Amino acid sequence: MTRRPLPVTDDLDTGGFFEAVARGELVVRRCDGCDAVLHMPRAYCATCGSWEGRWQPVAATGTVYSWTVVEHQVHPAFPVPYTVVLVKLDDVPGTRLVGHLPGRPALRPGQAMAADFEDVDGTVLPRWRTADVSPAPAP
Amino acid sequence: MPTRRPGTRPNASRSWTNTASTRSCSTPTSLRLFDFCLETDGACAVVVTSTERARDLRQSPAVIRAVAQASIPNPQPGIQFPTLFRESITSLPATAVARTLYARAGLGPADIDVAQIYDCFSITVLLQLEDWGFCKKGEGGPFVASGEIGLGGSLPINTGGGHLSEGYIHGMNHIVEGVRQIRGTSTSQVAGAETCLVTATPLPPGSALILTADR
Repeated sequence: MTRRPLPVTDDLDTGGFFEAVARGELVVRRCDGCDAVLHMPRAYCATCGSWEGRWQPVAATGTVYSWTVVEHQVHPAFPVPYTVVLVKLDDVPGTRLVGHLPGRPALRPGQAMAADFEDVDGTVLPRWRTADVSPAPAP
Repeated sequence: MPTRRPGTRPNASRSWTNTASTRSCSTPTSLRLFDFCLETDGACAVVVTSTERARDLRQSPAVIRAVAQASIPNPQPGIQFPTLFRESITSLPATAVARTLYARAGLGPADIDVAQIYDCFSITVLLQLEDWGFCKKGEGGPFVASGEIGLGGSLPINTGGGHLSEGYIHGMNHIVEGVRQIRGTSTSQVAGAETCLVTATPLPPGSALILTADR
């Protein structure tokens, strides 16, 4: 069994994300200067020039923005078919996270998604899945 | 994607639908093998000089009418990752490049005789045809299927085979083919071509130029 490639978790810009994930929490980076969401996370804000920022906890829920089913085998640790899904975060709709779903699950735009957290060889990663409940109707 | 250039990938150039017979790489967008550009080692050379000097050279010049470049709005950091976070996943920097380039050139889509459209993937061409105003948003597929991009169509494109059929030389072969069209030396020559749009406007940033005959 080939081991899954794992992300660098102690990077200066993105380390805070993985620290939070290890606690079972999702966070996004926000600029203290102009409140912009910096995603992918990094120290410097290209909008206002500030180096000050914070990690904002967000709910580990979102909706399907788009997806594609990969049929072409690339890495042995990720057997095809699998589905790459872009999840629009409920709390920060402009921010999308990438999820990996095995197989060819039936998806539709706007479908509810939720993340839990899995330990892969000592590194905790968010794992997106389709939520069991339907998205709440718009108020 | 008409091409008569020797050495190009024939199956990819014969027809768009011919790709349906090759193996699938992803679904449900149904990108198949020939929807991806070739992997190529190669090189192109482009000599840029003043129009005045170019007139004294042996080959007739292709004149750079205008150039422009742009990125997607508020790009996030990274190389390809920001493409996942752009405001609309069906738009490219082409929208912004087109606005600036057409204004600088004093030309519009109706003035373009032939175009070389950056084709790292087939889908990239469809989106750019829309962003550059050759058809309405969402109508790139029917526009291509109707034959408008063939030699007899309203906008012949990628007459040298492009990245999908000739080789992936990162847009440089598109510039060379654009020069051939203006000189009248293409193997798929558009009769009387005097303006050629050459684009490199996929993601995240892009650029383009318009070549014209020396009038």
